[in-house]
Amino acid sequence: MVETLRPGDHVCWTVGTDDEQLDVTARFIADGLARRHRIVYFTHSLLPLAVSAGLTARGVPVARAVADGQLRITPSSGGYLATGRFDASAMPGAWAAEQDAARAAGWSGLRAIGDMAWAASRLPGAEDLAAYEARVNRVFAEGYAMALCLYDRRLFTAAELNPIMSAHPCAKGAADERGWRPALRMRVTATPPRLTLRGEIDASNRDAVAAMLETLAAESATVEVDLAGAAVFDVSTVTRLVRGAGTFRLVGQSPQVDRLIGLVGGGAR
Amino acid sequence: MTVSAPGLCHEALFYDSDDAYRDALLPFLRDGLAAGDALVAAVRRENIALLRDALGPDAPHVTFIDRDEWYRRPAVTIAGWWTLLARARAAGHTGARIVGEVAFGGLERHRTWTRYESAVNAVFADAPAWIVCPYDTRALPGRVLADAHRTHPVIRDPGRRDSAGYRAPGSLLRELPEELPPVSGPPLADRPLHDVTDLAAVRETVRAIAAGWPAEALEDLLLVTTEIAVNGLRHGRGERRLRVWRSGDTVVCEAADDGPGPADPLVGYGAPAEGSQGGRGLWIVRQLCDEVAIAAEPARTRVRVAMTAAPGVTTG
Repeated sequence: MVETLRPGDHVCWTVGTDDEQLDVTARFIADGLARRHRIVYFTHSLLPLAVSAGLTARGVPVARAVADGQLRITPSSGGYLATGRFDASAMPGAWAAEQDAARAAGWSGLRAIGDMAWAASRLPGAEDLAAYEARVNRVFAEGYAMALCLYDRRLFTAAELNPIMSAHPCAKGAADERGWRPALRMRVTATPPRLTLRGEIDASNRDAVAAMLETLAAESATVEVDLAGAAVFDVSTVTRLVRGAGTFRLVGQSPQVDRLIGLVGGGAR
Repeated sequence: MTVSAPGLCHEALFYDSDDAYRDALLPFLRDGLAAGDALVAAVRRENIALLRDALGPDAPHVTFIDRDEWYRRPAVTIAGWWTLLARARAAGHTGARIVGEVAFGGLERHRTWTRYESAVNAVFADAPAWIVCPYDTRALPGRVLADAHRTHPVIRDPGRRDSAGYRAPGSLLRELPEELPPVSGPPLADRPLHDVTDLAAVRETVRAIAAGWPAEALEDLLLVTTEIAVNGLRHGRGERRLRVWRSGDTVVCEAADDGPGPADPLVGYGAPAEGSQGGRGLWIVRQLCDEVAIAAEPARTRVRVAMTAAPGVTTG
């Protein structure tokens, strides 16, 4: 269920039809309105007017929310692609500014919805997309903003989606939404530098974890990595933690993770 | 008797008596001691006693290991050698002399350990190690003895010579594929793998099938299943499927795809070099599983693993 998402989360949500896209965004927006979050929707495959109509038809008080400054529906050319190309390096900064503005206006959170259909048409810079999705986790993990990234399965192949999914801490694939919960939550505090991981780590999110570890290692000499609520089903993540042992101080890891660290470290050369 | 090559020297020693064993290995170890090499002997318990007696006051310089403990899973044994070699290097030894008396086990394990003996040549190619593997011609079947000629570049019986039958590990491993762990009856689960979001559901399925397993073994099984499923998604082609069987305390998982399988028959035998990405998952899978087989037919690859857990003892 999309309603299980909370500030700090960043999901790759695949859809198969326009109706499915409008259904999930309507529920995501309704949930956000009730929680006093600001919501910014970057649409691409649908015109803003069509989105407004579709959401209104699904019971979302679009007109009132827009008038209150709580909801903004804008074409992706006004957001991701403001410079005419997708500039991955500028995006985290843009998100941080959006976040500051929402805070200053008194909203208790910021929800972003991104219709990523533009990436399928191979715009300049789109090849940086997975790397961008991985890096931007740093912004969301502070726990104020959250993002629903919409990927249309009619536009992207499974092989194209796998690395993009893995750049997000959680993803929803073709399977039914019932019972869906975010697979992994990443939360960051700056002082002391700490990454808290809750959920399961596997190939569906390891690139997100890897990028987060890399970013945090660049920010601080030592980073506490709290694994108390995490199960690790991915050898490459364990390898990364072993190689970064000088930087990453693990706490709360299960005996299974300790044994894996022994196995990975024991044969290192 | 010296070997000047800097890399691995891997020899099979055929012996048929305690005297032959002692006569070959005592000078090997004594010379190593004089040369300042690290000395390790993973041999049968009776032969630990025999070598200790023969070495007398020099015995404490040798690390003795009971081979029945040492030769359980090829990947674990290989990881163990890496650890011992690293320790030797840290202690200031420039080389190591190793006596490795492989425990070939029951008939069904002979191929597994023949493959190991072959893989050693590639995995430790650059290691400053001199390994002599004693083969007891009184006890071992002819097939195992014949294969030793194919897996060791050098033979001693007791004279020392190049093995005429030696085969490069890449081609021998292809010729002697690991046999698929047996299964009986239809699988308890048989599902397609579409993308990485299927992994959590795959674990739910395996968790249900392995009901009653102790926590630690279950966690290993879930990791192993995830890794082989990811392997199929990443490297496989066409239709990917995961199938799971259970028989008593043994769970067998198989990830299949329509691709040609890994190009390198040695994949997963040794730890990938620092910085390399692929292969590490399969290396851990090989360490954790009782059996691992990769069957590559022209248009179908199957990676099948078996794990057995004793129920009742919950450690987690």
